[in-house]
Amino acid sequence: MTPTLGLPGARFLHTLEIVAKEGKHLSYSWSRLFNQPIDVEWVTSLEQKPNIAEQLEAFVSRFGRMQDTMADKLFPRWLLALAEVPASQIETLNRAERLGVLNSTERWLEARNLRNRLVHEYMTHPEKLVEDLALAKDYSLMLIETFNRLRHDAMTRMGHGKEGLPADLPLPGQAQEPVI
Amino acid sequence: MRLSQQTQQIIRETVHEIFGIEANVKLFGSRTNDDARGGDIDLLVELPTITAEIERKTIQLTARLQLRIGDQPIDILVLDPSTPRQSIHEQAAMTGINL
Repeated sequence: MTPTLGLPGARFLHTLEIVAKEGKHLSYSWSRLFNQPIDVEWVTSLEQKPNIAEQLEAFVSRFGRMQDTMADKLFPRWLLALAEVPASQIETLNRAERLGVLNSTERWLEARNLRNRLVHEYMTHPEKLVEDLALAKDYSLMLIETFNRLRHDAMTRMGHGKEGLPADLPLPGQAQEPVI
Repeated sequence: MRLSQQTQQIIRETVHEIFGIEANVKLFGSRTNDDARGGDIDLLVELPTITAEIERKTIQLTARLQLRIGDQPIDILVLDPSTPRQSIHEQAAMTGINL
């Protein structure tokens, strides 16, 4: 069954579709990047390997984009579709945590801080970048799992049928390469 | 300095939770200036021993502080004895105020 959609419901579904695409692109970059051993030597060799540097850039950008769209657009629109009024970002995240969509607000904020470090400390500290990328590898999975739980919530709490929703996102590293 | 007593205490406690009680924390940057307004909270955390997973602990500290004192820009530098010293570190250590 598919509920009759008002504007909030339609906007939520539209944003869910966008995030599903962002998740597929993130999975693709994740698989390409972490296919190689990432250590200090790898980081310092980037200057001579602009194509690999672009892979890194794409991953960092997609990691940031997916979390931005989710926190700034998807969660607030989901709450609006549930006839709730979203407030600050932390309150929205806390609400998502209470409703079982987000495992931990604190972990989400960690991912946000990590993204800022990845963007700003990029070329200056190879050791830090290695550690940050290992963290981003894990936090990417959290983003994708959170998307899947939100999609599931749209079925259980809002009564959407599978046919009206984007598919679940496979976790990268545990499935075949995503096809885009 | 422009940080309430309560905020200073929360910062101290949270730094100790994550980096241990030996960690020393200083405030540096514009918040040390009573006449300025707004600005990031710039913190320097100094660790007496070599510490694993500094990046993970730093993003965790930032997140936990944002939950406890409000969602705002917090910039944290963490130094252990193995961190190569840069001039920003010396400046922060020299001009920072112990919390």
